[in-house]
Amino acid sequence: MTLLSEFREQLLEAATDRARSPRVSGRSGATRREWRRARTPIAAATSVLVVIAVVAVALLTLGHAGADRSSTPGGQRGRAIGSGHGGGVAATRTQLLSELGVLRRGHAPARPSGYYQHSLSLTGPRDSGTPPVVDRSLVRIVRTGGYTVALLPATDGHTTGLAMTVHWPKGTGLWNAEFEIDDPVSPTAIARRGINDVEYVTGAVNRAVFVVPDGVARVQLSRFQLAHADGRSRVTIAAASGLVHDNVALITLRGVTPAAFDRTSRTLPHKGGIFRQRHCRVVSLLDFVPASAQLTWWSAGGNRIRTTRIRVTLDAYSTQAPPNFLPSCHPAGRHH
Amino acid sequence: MSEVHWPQASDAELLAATAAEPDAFAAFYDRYETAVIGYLLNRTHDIEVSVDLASEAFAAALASASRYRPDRDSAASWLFTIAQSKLTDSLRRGRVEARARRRVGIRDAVQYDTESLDRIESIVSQSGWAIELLARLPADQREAVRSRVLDERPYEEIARTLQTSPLVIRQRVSRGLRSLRRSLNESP
Repeated sequence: MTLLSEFREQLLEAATDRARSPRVSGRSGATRREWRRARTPIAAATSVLVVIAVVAVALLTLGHAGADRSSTPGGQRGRAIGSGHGGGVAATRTQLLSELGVLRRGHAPARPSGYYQHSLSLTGPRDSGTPPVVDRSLVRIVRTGGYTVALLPATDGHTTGLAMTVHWPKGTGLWNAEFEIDDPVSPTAIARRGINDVEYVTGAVNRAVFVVPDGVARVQLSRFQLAHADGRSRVTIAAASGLVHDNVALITLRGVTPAAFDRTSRTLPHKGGIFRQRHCRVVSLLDFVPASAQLTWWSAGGNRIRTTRIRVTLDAYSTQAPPNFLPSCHPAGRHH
Repeated sequence: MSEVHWPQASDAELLAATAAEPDAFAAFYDRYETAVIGYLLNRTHDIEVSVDLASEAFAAALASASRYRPDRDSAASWLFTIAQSKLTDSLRRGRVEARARRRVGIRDAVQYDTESLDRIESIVSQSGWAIELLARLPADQREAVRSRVLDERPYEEIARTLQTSPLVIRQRVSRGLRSLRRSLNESP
């Protein structure tokens, strides 16, 4: 639907005149050539990407042959696999196997089906860049607390590591967006802070899904702060923790509401929140809140293994606007 | 490339083809018309001024389409920068300029009656700032997020409309929401 149809016509007419005019035709021809040239590198780049993908698959396959030996019962953890070319991918694979016991145990279904198939399909082409190449032999599915987490060793051309998809229990998550995906995270990053995905569940509840290295028995999140100072930096979300099962932990975060972040009609849009209003009344409001939290890993014996600060994005969703949130059509909510 | 292909073209392709193919710019205009008016309306709170500024911004975009460099910025950011610049100019000068429109050969300003302006304001306001934000997503994700999140349509229905599978739509919604989160984390 065009809002300014008359102006659109004028604009199209102007564009047509510019394309026809002798003064612009030189530029037009140049631009046309430029556009064609632009497509040639795209084709060339596509060819290069295909070659890279084929090489990556080959390297992962080579690595797989070696890694299968180390993943057999009694196999040597962290044993170097592969040699010569492909050493980088193989070494990463070895690191992953060394860090994550779940990868060393059992195999994903031999015949991809159901969620496994969905997970693989989600690793298709991204917004831009190279689609991740997944080492299917190392894909593991962890089911815990109603969640299904697929661990996908993969390389995307930039990073070789572990990607994760999460299948949320039915009826939870934002608009039942059941699948969440992530780019591969390097083994080094996993050793430092794991992989996390925090999502809205229902009401004022968010849930964090963590993948952590071996030895971590409990994961705790505390001391939440807004990532960008816009008033209060400390957020009143209580510390919470979750036990680890097969390198995966679930943590329930309560009190995540738009009101908790002190958002106003002035700050919310500039922070990227989205909302829907009807007749000057907010009917739904979603705020993705970049924040940081203190992450603590605990051993089974109750010893602190590591404490670090990580970035998370909290999802605050409500069908009611916070008290200080005025729709844009309200006189007091207007601003420049 | 015939007109039927423009909806599938990327923003960068549309701008690159504009000098030779006027319909390409029309397709680009269609993608961002509501977003740009909404962006300006949220800053001026005057629909008439917003429409005027949006017209000037699109005319400026047409004039400089050949100078757009996709390796530097996304087309959406480039366009919103132009719109912001027109807004800043208008605040400084105390009026909306028509220089860009004159430069591309648009002489007659379109006059909109109150009823038309009210209708435009109503459409743009209902979508709020979401449109501005969504405009920064790739077209397929934008449509999926808009349909699912703002219009609350079932996945199956969206899939039928867009002639694809519900799984693909779920995937686009998921990726779109993730992209929005990422863009927030990357903002200063």
